[in-house]
Amino acid sequence: MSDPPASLARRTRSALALWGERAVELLIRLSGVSAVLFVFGIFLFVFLEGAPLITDIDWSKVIFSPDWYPTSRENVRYGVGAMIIGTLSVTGLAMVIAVPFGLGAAFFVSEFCSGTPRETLKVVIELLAAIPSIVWGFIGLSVVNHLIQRLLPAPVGLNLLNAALLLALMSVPIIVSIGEDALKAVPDSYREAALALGATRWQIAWRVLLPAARNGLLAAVLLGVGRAIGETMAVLMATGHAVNIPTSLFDPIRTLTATIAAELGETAVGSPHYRMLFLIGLMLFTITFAVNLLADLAVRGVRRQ
Amino acid sequence: MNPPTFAATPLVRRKLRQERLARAVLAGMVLAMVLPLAAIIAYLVIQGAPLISWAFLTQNPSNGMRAAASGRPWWGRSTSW
Repeated sequence: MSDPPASLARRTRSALALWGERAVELLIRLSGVSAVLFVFGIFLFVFLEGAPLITDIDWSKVIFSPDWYPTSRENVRYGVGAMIIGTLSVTGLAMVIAVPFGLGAAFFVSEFCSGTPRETLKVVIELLAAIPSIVWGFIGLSVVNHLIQRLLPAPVGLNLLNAALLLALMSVPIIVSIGEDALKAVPDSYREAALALGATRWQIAWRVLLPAARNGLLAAVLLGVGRAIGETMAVLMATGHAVNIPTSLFDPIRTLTATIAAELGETAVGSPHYRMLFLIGLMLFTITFAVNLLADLAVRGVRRQ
Repeated sequence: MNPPTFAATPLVRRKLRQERLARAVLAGMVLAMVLPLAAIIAYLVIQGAPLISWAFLTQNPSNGMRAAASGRPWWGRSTSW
């Protein structure tokens, strides 16, 4: 009922501390918003550079035709069908290799190792992610190329298989480290309960952890896919860079990313060819967005069950 | 007199066999990543190490960049070239 005694009176903070707090809050909010702003800014820039061409081209031809003749004098054709198939095939093949190996390694590191071997293996596998992509391309060009030519019935070593092997090795460390985190996030009580029932490590991994961690493992796989789709330099050097719809593992291909990298420097700013490359960038944006959306939906769908 | 309490039944033997197989396969998968990594690093070092020298790293290229020491790779500026 009465006022608190003076000794308990609320102590006010100094003006400096108050404004400092507000300034820091504002700074944090700005940096949070800036990430979104930058993404939209980049999207807007790419869109505006490509926009004038959107209505000028026949989209059904662009997407489905394999004819890419952007510098032809007589008959300019901007068909990216072969490159879309190239990107999808090299990513798909890389994932066919990388997903079982990546998840297997994640299980091995997380469940079958402990102590020093586990930490060593983690560091070594993460070293794979530390190799720059230009060095991967260089390895593809100078080592894998010759290996494929010597060991397999392929006329040229720079092909779909070469790039897929490199991409698999590049995306495996992501799958391993995120998959391992997902397995670590499964409560130990699950493992203890399974052990008490007499399960072996493999039985725990296959019957308990795989269903329990499937959201995290799916996220790991999709991040690996994202890494493989966006990769440019290694595929530019290792695929053979020929506009071609592949019919076998040994066919050279070309990807959307490598096309931009190889040709953007050769075009006149504002020319249709230049704008077309930005539209390819938009397509990559769309593909990545679709992958992320799919990942989100899949994870949510899995959770609802 | 008592029978052994923990005699391995066929079920136990099978699950232990599966365990060994799984461990070997998973270890093989890890090896399939570690070996290429080691091979790549070894290849880069073996091919590159003989060319690394202090002259390569610190001096400007000589003889119109045709001498072995065609150096200072990380400086990048072309002003003195």
